[in-house]
Amino acid sequence: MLICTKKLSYTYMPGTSFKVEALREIDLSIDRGSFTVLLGPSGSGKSTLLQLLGGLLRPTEGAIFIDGRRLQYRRRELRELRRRVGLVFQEPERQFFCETLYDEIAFAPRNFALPPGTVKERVEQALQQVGLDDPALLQRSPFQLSAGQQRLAAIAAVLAMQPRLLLLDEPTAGLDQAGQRKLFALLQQLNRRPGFTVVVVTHRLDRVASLADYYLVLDRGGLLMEGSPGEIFSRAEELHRCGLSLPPVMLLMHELIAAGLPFSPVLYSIEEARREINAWRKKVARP
Amino acid sequence: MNHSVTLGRYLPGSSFLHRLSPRIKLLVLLLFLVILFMLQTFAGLGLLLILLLVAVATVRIPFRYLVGGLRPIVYIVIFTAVLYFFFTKGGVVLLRLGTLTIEQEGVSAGLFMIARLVGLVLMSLLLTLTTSPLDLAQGMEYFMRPLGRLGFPAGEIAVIMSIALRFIPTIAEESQRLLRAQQARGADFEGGFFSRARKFAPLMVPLFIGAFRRADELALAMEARGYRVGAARTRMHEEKIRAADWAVLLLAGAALAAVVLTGL
Repeated sequence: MLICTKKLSYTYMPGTSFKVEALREIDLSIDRGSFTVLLGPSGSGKSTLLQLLGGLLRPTEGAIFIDGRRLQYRRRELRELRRRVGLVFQEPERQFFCETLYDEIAFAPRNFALPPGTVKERVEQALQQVGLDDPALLQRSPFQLSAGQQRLAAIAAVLAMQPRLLLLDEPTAGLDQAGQRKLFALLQQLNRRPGFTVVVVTHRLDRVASLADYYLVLDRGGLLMEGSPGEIFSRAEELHRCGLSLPPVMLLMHELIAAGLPFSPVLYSIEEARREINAWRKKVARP
Repeated sequence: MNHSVTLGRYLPGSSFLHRLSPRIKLLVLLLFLVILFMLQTFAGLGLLLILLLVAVATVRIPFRYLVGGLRPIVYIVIFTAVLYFFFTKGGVVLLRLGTLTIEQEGVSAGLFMIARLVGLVLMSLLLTLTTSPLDLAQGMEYFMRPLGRLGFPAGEIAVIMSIALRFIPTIAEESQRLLRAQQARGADFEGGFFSRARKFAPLMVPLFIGAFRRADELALAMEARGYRVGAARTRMHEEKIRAADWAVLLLAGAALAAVVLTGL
């Protein structure tokens, strides 16, 4: 176990008539090295939960435990937390403010007062991880990159802190297919490193959602369900009711499972579904 | 969310003051401003403050809001008090601190000034808490309209005002979001004023870029809906002045006349 929460609640502007109860008594745990997807329709409290986990918001009630130690929100503790936990906000390229890509990526390592040599190393490593290691790009303005490259650069800016846990809020939003594919590959590759934990927030059951080995489903500030892909997708009816509709290919697979065919209830991409169905057809054709 | 945002922020409601025409509210505010500065006696000022508190009670604003709204003037009040208490001389000496003295007239003049300040803020709070920014801008446009004949762009100014008011909460939210996003990258915004000023770029640059992008999108959206500078616009909801509005205006006028005649 890496992070767990006990009765975690968060209310925006408490004590005023504008107050909004974003989260109510969330109990969850995220395992080290897991790929967890936080699902929920918009307004379900996903982003708030992510910011709480990143130590950027302080819970109104309840507590967060990291490696079994309760987070006390002391200044030094928070700094350490922010170094270990990388939080990528929604549309993170909107935080860019530097004149060169190098400075943008170096912002985080410099904030943690690393020596210049180490900063340079970190920048190069981070850019290499996201596949932007073309030296010609380093002195270019981050605003000159394509939308997909900007997103990758923004993630590199967080990876430069060398976090052990990466939290991403709707990382594929606004990207084209090619950009989404690159991001998908990056997250998969990061998660493959031992002990590297990835948590992705999304409101769509898209390809990134299919990477998960564990799902948390939020609905109106409460934890609706959690579990492995099998456990979650066997309750497709409930997902649908809170506005998380399954992609057409998943509806097809569910119909086939309901008709008695031996497929497992995980999140399929079209490609995976095709492979599964073809494999089954071959098996049936040659008894 | 920052709590200072609640300062003068519109609180939707259905009280008498909420339903009053914004144009009339503006006029009444103007009349009461004149009254406030014509009042010469504590009795008159006290009466006005009681009237304002009664008005506040009818709006049923949570007490917190009022205190929150008055908080920004605390320093002005303290400054005023110090200035008047120590530098206006006359009457009995109340307190002696070395070479400094506090005298009776200083205290009474200071208290009078503070009461005026509180009245001023209470009045403007009553207006902004009960009138939506859009209504307020339209009310102001109404009074600027005669200037239109002289080539003054009253309609455009009203649009600019309502857009500016509309985007204050959006930009405030955006800056909170940016603050947290840069904190997630290890930026430390705590510490003294100077160390904070130095760390301004990571906040201000994206905030400005965002504001410009938003302005571009808004301009495009407005043009797509047929907005043209200089074109006469009609309203979907023409707001009407009702009997109650006239009555309030009349009462405010009467109050002013009473103050002038009695010399309160």
